Amino acid sequence: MAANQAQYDIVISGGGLTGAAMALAVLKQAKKPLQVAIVDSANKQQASGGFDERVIALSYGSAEYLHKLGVWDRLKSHACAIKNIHVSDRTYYGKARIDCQDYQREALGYVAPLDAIAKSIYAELKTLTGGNHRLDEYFANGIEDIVWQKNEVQVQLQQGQLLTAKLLLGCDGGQSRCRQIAKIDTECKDYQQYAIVANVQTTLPHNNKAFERFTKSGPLAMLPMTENRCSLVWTLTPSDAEYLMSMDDVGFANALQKAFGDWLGPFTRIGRRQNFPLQLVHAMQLTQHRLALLGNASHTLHPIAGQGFNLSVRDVACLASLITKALENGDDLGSYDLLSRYQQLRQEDQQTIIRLTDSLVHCFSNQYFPLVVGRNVGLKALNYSSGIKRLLAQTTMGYVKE
Amino acid sequence: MSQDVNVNPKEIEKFEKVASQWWDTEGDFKPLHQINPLRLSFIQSHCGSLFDLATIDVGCGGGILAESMARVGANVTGIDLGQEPLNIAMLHALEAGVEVDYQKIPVEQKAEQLPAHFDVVTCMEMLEHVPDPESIIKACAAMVKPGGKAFFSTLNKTTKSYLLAIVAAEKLLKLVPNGTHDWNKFIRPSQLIGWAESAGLKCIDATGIHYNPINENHKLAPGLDVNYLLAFEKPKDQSS
Repeated sequence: MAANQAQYDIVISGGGLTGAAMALAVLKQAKKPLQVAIVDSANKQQASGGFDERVIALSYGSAEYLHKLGVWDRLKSHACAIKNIHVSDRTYYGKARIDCQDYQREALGYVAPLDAIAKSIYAELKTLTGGNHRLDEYFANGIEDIVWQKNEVQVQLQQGQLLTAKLLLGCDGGQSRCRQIAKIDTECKDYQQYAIVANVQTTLPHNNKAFERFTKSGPLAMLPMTENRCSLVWTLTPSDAEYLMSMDDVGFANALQKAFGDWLGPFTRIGRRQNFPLQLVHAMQLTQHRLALLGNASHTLHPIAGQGFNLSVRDVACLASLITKALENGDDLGSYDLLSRYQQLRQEDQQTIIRLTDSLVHCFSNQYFPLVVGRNVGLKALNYSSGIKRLLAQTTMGYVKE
Repeated sequence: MSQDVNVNPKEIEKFEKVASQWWDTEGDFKPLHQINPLRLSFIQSHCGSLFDLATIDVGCGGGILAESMARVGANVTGIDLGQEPLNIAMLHALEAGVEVDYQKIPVEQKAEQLPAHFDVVTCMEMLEHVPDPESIIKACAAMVKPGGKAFFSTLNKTTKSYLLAIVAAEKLLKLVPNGTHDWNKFIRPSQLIGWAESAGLKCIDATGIHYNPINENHKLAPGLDVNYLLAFEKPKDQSS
């Protein structure tokens, strides 16, 4: 074999959270030696931190899975627990409180920085090398082309290496290169709404409380972060969003105060604001010959990235468990049976999310979309209105099914 | 075109006229787009991975099924007698970057060229549009390799199919253009299976394709009384 050729069981395209978690999950659970490569066109993520660091909400189920993978101990000091949720509407009448104690848990979910999660996963991955397993990283080296053979898949890298594998995993995000090369179509639903996302700081401590308010212009969520910051997700009509984006920080803080109320006192700092259209993009197929799509490559729910990652964790848990079983039985890791099983299991979950999102948008005429907090922590029930409660109960998104 | 070609020129003309609509998922062919994933997964459930399998779609029209099989890795040939749908199919495949070999050729002639050549032969929603469906089935059967599979779908000749496929689908709900189907050409499953088995195929599965006009969903389920889909296998020990 030529020097620039290498053989693996699994090649993972994408070294972000999903790809790294997938590598960790299979290597951790594999009872037989496993050769894995991670490929990413970008450099390895450098920890950025800072006031505006991007955070995601982890459901209790996702946190449990990260614990199982040995990541949680490294991550927990960076994560902020959501201990209770305060739901209110603009009339201040329909109020509800949900407390973690009602569910006999220490938290309903967590808010954690993306960087810290990635760093913790890679740190844990490092502890696994040196054993029977092999993990090679090809960073700053994207996929040039993919050639499918009956019994393997060949991945040609931009820097010339040729990797062959039994199975290729597309964990390469919303613009998935694997998905493009495999010519898998996507479907996009545009909800004609925008969301402004920013980290903000308030005078009063949040005390691990998350807020969801149904304001005139749309639902507004505040998720507790470390250093008494909050992560704001404010759903708005496109024109309202544009208007609020054009304001200076003082003007925006006033508008936010008016919409949110005084629950946390005056806003003392407004971080960098970002504006996203609310879109649900999903791949028409999750698998192809010797290829599976995971995470944002298979579904992107903007900008509620938290929910997206919880879905990704369930993709990882599902596929890692199928791969582990196949490895144990000496089966082909890229077999049609394994992949169609993955597709079948994950499609049900994905369809549920799409149905739920549609129902929320249509049944509540956009007023209750996206129930950011409740959905992010994957509550089994939200003690607010029977309609929402029923819809949320249908999903019970918080737990990793294996 | 020679006179012994098994084709009804009026039928070809009908599909030529609406060719531009083939890939409009909300247009005249919307039902085909809706049932295509079901057809594909039915085929996959019997063949496993289609990767690298020699596959031919007979009466491929604008290529909805042919292209979807090529996308999952099959080596697909698509044949039809309508030039306009074939042009659309070729253009679409080109745009999508999917390789399908489209040819304008009667299936009987193709079968003479390539007997016992294909792992998978499909012929969907086509038999109800030709003068001599038995000849089509015979030709399809001849092209299947021993151990290979053939799939046929068409409309059953029942009162219910008249009410649903003609009265409801064409006249009332207008799911497909008026005159798309002629009930007299619908085929009973027993007849289709009889033709196929006398051509050396063995029926291995049958399912109905059902439409729910309320939620606009299609699903595969028992009950062959309207739209149905049959799977056949050519036994391995038999030479074609």
